[in-house]
Formats: sequence, structure tokens, C-alpha cells
Amino acid sequence: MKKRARIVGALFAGAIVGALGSITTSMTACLVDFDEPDGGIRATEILAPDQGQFATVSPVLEHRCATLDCHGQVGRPLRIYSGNGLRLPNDAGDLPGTSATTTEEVTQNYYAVIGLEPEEMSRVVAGEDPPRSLLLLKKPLLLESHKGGPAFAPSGDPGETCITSWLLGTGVDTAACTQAIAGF
Amino acid sequence: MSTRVLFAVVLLASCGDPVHDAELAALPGENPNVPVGEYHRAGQPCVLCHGPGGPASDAAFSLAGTIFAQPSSAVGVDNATVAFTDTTGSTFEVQTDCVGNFFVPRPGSSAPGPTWDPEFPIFVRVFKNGASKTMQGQIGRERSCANCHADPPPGSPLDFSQVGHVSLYDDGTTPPPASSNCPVSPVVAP
Repeated sequence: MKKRARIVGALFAGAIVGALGSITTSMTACLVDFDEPDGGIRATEILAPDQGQFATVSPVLEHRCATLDCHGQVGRPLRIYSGNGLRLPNDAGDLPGTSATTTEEVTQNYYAVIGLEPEEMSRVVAGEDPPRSLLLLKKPLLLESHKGGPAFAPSGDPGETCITSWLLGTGVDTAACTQAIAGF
Repeated sequence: MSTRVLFAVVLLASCGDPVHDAELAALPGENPNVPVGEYHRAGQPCVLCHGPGGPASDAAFSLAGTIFAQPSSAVGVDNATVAFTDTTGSTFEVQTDCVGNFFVPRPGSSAPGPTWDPEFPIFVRVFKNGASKTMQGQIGRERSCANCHADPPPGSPLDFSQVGHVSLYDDGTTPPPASSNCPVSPVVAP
């Protein structure tokens, strides 16, 4: 009797799983647009470091990278706005050197950083690749050709420490971030 | 034969840099009251001409610019010292002439004076007597001050990306009078 009940239960459970599978399949089929080359599924989601904590990191990029002759230019892929450099067009009268970097500019800087190499950024945030695999660090460290020369010291630069701590999600090293802009 | 000539013409034409050419074409003309020489084109991006591909490339500069007295006018400051430190720690100092112009000749340049070939980024300070001004950021790659330190017309989109000409006395102090024994007027814009 007990054995029969178990068999009936298993059959019932199998039927439910099968039904759910059919429903899932049919729902997926509804979402897929086979007229699109990629099936209509845009795999654009990336893993990105914390946006809120970027407010502590942005000043490092502003001071070390965002001069008007480098990444403070609208034509750069890594375009960095800053209070003393390139300003996001605005009606508030914020011009270079007249006011601090705005929240909106910091947000735009965040988008520029995470959008530079989205796939590699995802791998770094997932812990699959080291932070130095990103152009964001390779260029200023001269691990790859950089027209602006070395923006960070080869080792032990607080700028790298600051950015790395943010990328790894271990808590931004605020002391390093502060130290990185001292004198700049 | 005509094919060879055409090929040569295409080859020569392709050597040009259209961006550089456009920048050169956009420069204002020479001031008829200022002869071509160390005093000319104050406030303009010097290395555009005095650099690779420029019409004055034989007298190439590593760095060059103009130091003005105040932000609201363009009167050159004479005998100011412009002090550079490059990323290797190498330093170089140069004095402005009576219209505020200064230049650092590149090695091999026909321009007079000691040469310097700095490695970017570069830090810069300007001073004269008690007045001193340190650039808040570093120079990343630009050799002409005026490419960033320009005065766009008010309301121009360039307002968001240019910082006005270099001025030594913008803290409210009264600048010393402009040079009175300059061969040309040190006043670019009163």
C-alpha cells in the first residue's frame, strides 16, 4: 500500500514538473523574437561595482586622469567630468573651476568607468579576473601603452589601492582615496 | 607615368592630418603690428605651428604659452618664471618675454635657448616676485597652454571645456604695470 502510494506520488510530482516545464518553455517562446539575430534576448546586463561607493572613488579619477587635455574631453571613451575640468553641460552656470563636481557628473563618471570594458568589468567583479586586467588600471600603470604616460606609480600607488578596493567590493579604502588626491 | 604621378599625389595628400590642418586653418591671422618672432601670436596655441607637421616645425617647442596678468583682460606679464617638473622629476625653468610669451625648445630645434624633452604628465608653477600660481592639475599631454586655456565666446559650448587664459594675478591683487620698453604692445585684449 505504502509502495503504491509512493509510486502514485512520484508520478504526480513528475506530472507537475513536466507541466511547469511546458509552461516555462512556452513563456520563453513567447519572449523570444526569432526575427532578431540574437533571438531578441539582449544579454547586456553586466556586473558592476557599487555605484554609491563610487562617489569616494570619482575624485581620484577627476584629479589624476581628467585634465582637459586627457580624459576631461568629450571625445574620450573614458570621459571624466570634474569641477575643475570638463563640465557636464548645464543651465546652473557650472563652468570649469567655478564649483565642485556635481552628483550628476559623478554619475556620468560612473557610467564611463563601468562602460569602458563591460565584459571584463563583469569578470573582475565576479572575481574571475584580477583588477589589473582592466584598462582602467593597465593604462595608468603603463602595463599597456598610455598616451598620457604613467598616471599611477608602478606599485603601491594609493590611487590603485582605492580603485581596487572598490572593484573588489571589499569596502572602499577611503584613506587611500584621500591620499591619492593629496597634492593634486 | 600619369598613374605614378597620381599615386604620388595621393600618397602625399594622405600624409596630412586633417584635424591638425583644420586647427591651423582656424588660427587668426598675424597681427600686422607684431612681426613674426618671439612676440607674435600671444595667447594662441604655439605648438600647433611649432611642432611636428606645423609650418614652424624647424623651431619646435616642447611646451609654450603666454602668461597674462588678470583673467578679465589679456595683458602679458614680463619676466615671470614658468617652472615645470615632469613625471621623472626632471625640472626646467623659463622666463616670459615682455608680452608674456615663453617657450621651451625641443632638442634639435632651431629656436634659441636651452632645450628640454619632458615626459608627461608635467606639473607647472608660475611666479614673479611675491606672486605665485600653481596649476591645480597636471598637464597630461598638451604642449600648448592655449589649447585648454582659451577664452571661448560667452554662451559657447566650449564654455564647459575651457578654463580661460593663464593669469598670474587673479586673487584680487593689483598686477605690476606691463612692460614699458617692449618692442610691441603687451596688450592683446585690454
